[in-house]
Amino acid sequence: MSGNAFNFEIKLKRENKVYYENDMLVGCVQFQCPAETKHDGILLTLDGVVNLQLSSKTVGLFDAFYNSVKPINLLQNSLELSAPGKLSAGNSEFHFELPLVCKKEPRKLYETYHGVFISINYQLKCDVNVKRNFLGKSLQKVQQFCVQYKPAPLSDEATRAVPFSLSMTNAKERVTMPRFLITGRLDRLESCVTMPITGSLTVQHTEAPIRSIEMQLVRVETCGCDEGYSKDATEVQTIQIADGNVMPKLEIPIYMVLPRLFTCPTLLTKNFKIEFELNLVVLFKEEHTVSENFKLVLKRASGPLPSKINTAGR
Amino acid sequence: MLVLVLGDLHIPHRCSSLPAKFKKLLVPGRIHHILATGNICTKESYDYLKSLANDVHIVRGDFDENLSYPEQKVVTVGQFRIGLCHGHQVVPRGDPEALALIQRQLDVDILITGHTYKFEAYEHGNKFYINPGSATGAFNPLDTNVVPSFVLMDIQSTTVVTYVYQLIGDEVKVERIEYKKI
Amino acid sequence: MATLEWSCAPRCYQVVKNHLHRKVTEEHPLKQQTVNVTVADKNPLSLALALEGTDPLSKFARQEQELNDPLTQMASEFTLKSKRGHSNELEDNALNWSTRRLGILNRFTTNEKLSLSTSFLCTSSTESGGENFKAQTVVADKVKYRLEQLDNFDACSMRHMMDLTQQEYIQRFDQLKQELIQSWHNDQRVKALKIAIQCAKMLSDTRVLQFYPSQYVLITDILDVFGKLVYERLRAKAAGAPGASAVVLQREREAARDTCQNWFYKVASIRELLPRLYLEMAIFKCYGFLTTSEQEMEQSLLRLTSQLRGIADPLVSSYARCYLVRVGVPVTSSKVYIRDNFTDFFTIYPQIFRLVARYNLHPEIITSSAYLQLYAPALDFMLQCLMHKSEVSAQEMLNECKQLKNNGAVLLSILNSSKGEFIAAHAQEFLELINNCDTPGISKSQLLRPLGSCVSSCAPLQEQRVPFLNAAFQTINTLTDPNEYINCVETWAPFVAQYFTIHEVNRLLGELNSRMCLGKAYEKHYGQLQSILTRIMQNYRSIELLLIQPHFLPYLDLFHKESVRVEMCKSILSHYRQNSEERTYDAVVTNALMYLGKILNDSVNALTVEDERRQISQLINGFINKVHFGKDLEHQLSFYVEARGTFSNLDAVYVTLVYAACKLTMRSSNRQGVKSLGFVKACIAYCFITIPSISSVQQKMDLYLLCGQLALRHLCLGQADACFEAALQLVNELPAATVDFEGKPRCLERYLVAYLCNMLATLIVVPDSPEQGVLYFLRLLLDIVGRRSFKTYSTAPAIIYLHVLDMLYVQSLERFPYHIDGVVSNDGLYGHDPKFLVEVNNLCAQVVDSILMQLKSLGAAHQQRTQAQLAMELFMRIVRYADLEREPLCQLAVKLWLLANKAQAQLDSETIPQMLCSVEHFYKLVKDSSPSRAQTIAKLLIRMRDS
Repeated sequence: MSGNAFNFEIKLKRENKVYYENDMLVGCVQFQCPAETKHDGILLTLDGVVNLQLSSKTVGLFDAFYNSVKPINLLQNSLELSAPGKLSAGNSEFHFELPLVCKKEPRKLYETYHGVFISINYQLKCDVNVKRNFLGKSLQKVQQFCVQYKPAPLSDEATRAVPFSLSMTNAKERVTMPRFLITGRLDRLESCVTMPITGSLTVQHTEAPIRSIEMQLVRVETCGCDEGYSKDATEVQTIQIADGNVMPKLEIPIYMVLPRLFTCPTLLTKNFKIEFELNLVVLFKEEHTVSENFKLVLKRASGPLPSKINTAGR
Repeated sequence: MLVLVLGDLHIPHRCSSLPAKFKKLLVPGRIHHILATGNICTKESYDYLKSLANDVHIVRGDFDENLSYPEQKVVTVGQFRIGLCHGHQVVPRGDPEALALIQRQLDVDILITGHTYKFEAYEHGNKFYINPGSATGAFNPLDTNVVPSFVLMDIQSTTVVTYVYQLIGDEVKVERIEYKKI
Repeated sequence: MATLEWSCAPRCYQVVKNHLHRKVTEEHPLKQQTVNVTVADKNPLSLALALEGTDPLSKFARQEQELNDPLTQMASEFTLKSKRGHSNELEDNALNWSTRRLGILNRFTTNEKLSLSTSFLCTSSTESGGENFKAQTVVADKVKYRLEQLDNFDACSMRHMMDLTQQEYIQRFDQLKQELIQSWHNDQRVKALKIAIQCAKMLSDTRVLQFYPSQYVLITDILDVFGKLVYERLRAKAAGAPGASAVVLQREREAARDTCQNWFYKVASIRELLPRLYLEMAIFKCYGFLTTSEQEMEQSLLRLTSQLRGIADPLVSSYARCYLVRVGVPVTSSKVYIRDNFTDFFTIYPQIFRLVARYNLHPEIITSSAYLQLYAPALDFMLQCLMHKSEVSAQEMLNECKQLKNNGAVLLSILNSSKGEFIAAHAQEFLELINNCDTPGISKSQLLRPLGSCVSSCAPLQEQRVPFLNAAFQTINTLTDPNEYINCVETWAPFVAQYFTIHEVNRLLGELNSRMCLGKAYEKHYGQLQSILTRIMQNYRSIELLLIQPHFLPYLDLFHKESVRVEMCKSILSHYRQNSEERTYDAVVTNALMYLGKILNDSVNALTVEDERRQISQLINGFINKVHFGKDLEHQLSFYVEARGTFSNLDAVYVTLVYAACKLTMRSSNRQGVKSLGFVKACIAYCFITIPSISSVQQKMDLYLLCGQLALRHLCLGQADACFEAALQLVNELPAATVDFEGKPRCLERYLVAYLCNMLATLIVVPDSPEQGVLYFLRLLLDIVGRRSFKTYSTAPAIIYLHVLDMLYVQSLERFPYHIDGVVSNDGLYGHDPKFLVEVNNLCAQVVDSILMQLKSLGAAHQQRTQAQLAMELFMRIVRYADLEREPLCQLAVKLWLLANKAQAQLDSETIPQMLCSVEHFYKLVKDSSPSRAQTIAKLLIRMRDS
């Protein structure tokens, strides 16, 4: 009974749990024991893994690149916090410091990311071995944390606005389409993940009433290598920017905050790729749809804890 | 304990209202009890008195619309038993002997009556008699020169200090009378 | 006839009134406390302390009066400042949305069926997942549960509630609000958010247009609740646990900040535009946890402003802008974003009129005018926020408005939202704008109304008023529809009444008279006509001056329906009652009042309820008491004569008239001159003629007695006798009981006793008339009492007889205790003549006999207690009045004493000792002045003891 009674948790020094490569992961494991407790060693493990998964449509088709979708270990480190012994009654702490360095290929820590087919995860695991435990199972606690790139300045590309225009030419079913013209611009295609996508559009004229104008953020995840790969585009989020038949000639802003964790800087590696695209979709009342696609390049540009609201805080 | 004693207002039949100088003195919230000797006449006047103090005792005068007011009443304030009676029932009017009989019947320390429209305060047989006069100076068919007056009693244990407010000319004259219960 | 021989004893003593010492004093409890600030007392606080116990209003008033020394001045400045601060707060309250909510809900209602879509409301509210919540105790479970929740939400199909009445719709939203709050407190924050999102979504539903503003109020209430919950929770989190260390607090703050960011992330990913913007606005205040810079907040407000352009429906977007302003005002004083909202609003403004044109063709959906009114609450609020304390903004808006096509709707809102001073300063300009305005759905009268009420409360400069008024009425008079015309005038009436001379007011009334007569327009506008007159009366400084205007009384003729006319007369008279001068001298005013009074009098008939009758009488009495012709008493009396002729339906007015004539009598007696006696007689004659018309016997008796006393006082002995006789004869007619004004029956016996006592006290000084016998009135009184039937076992006759004895005893005295100046009472008349005394003694004997009869019948009826009490009373009178030397009297006294003592058990224990005490007291009283009399009393006491 006494063996199970204690409680413990992994605490990181940084409240936001965001780290850069080469940072020291500093923290402690805190135990609260109602009574003196025997244990058979306390082990702390650090993991950083890229998990790749094939979409269902690809499974079975490309057995060849199964190898290429094995998990990639970015970090693997362990530390014995305590040899078998006793935990004294009351609170006790075991401090640790672990360097965040990727020692083997790709020698780089990618940013934390949760996608559909690709995820990049970092976690600390603490195992306490207790013999007298009924099932002989060890007690385990997990603490996840985030890795981010150090912000770097954006290239000149980021200051270049991208004009666009939508008209019948964009439509698939040109003949039946009503005549219309929508013009606009995106402020930049190269952007920082913490910055919202901005721009504006103006309905110049339209014959058919518009029902809705939406922005769709799409992730394009590629797994595998040149000889065989699966590439899937999935929607991250869709945001409506105009509802109903808006006034012509009225400039409507484009503003989309990129969702945290589900976006990361564009990542191109030998084994996999994470890219983002933006679709501008115009829906007409008569079920016509017109869209325009933009390829985005995401980077990490500002600090890990920006205080500005307009970046909607990350 | 402040006890306002007044009566024979005859508003609106003989006077339109209390003299302005009196009204100014009678601020709500200062007075604890009101003893009215009658001829308040209308409900409006009663409501006015109610606005000055919550505890209002009234006996019926000869011109009160409200017939439910009692003819006589005894109110105890501190250590004093106070009798209240308008006095139009007394024959001969204002007769001290008749009043003394009422005093004994009611067994009170102070007897307050009205009806004569004349302020009076005297002691007789160790008892205290007060007539506050008419607060509006309403005319009295049997008397001329009615001076508007009312009385305020400050009752502290066995002493009652009586203040008489009279409107003489356009000035309020205040006199002080002290009476001690033996 | 009498078996007993009575003999009055002479009065040989005097009751000493020991007048206590009176001292003039300046100090008394009612003294208005003046504030004496001594020089040594430098603490302004003590001033406040000294004032404590008095009400704050008089405190202020006093301070304003007594600005004499620097210290009080300082203190009063301090209070002034705090007062000013207070008023600021009040003004800011005008920007507070909550004050408007109810008005909108009451104004925008619908009978159409509403629908609502949500996944959170079950048909029976008890089912709303209450049990499901219990399970979550373990933390891990909670997380799991949350996930399940999400799934549930997605899986659960939306419920579409159709055909809801407005009331049901409101109830559903209230349920949703409760559900949201409950979810929040049950740690189901995601669910709370989802509810808020679903609610916000419903703001895009404009299917029942005329209800939209109310729908907006209901939904934003919920959003406000949500915003508040989020904010409060973050605040609690950021504040940390009390007493935590600085490091911990810092961590807490950062955690709160992180949570706050998460909220904004969640909201930013809402798919639809309208709910996304509404939700961000709902939690806008929380940006305060991310930044302290007002500028950054403003940036966000500006961004939201431009994002709102994406909402195509002008009504929906206007209300969303209104919400933005609502959340913006508390966080920043900047007005740039409000200004931007208006810029955008003006851009889409033509869109509104495209819709207006459509509704013009389809008024069955909504009329264009009603459609435009839907915008008013949002527009008014935004404008008010923009122009609050900003003259510049107001000016800008006015200029922009001028540029706008179809500017009526905006102009209307500016008129409704601007400060009075601004409108007053630009009154002429506004008028021109209105004149030039030609907006579909907005009529000129609609615009003229708010301008009228504005200038009524805050007028343009003195020199501009006349041309402005003329110009305004030029426009108003062009309104051809009587309804529009009168609605307009209604708001302008206070302005005219307040700032112009009586001539303009009269002219206005004249104009109304002629306009409303056309085609009997008045019939449909009694309400407005009434309200116009009321407003004029409330605002014009002299009600008397109004009454005598040539167009005033004709205006009343517009009210053809009698009930309305009566209502109006009442209202005028009650105005007069409250606001007129203390006295009215003017014959024209009096005539007007009589005219009004006559309308009221004539409206009274047999069917009139008592309350109405009383109210009318009160109003008429009110002015009768105010009419005062100064020294011209004859004029005054002739006025009363006229009034008597006019108000024949109202008893209470007659009573007042009698009192008034009595008062007049008293005034005339103060007047010197030979004429006065004749005048007094005329007054009393007036009373004597008027009293019989009053129906209440009791009131008649009172008034006869009063008039008799007055006549006596003025030496009109014949009239006095007539009054007393009439009064006594009425006793026969006095009913046994009456119904008082509260509707309760009241026995009149007690009244009769008191009345007759009062009469007896008066009769003491009434001299016998040479035409009638000795003590005629007393005999008459005895006769009437003897004949009147009283209740069984009533003590009334006995008590009356006892007091008759009192009166008779006074008659036996050489000199009566009081007299009336100039009236020779019986003491002077008979000069203590033995013959007169014999008459008195005989009457006494007769009265005592009557009392004994009463006692006997009480005894027979076993009313021992009453019998004993009355016996006691008689006993005491015998002791005091009778010559006890005479054995029969002495014997009677002893018998009465024994009779009383027999019933001792039934009496209060105090009664007999008290009586003994009274006898003893009397003994002491006579002892010094008449030892022989004292001895007889002593003997009586011994006999009483021995028997």
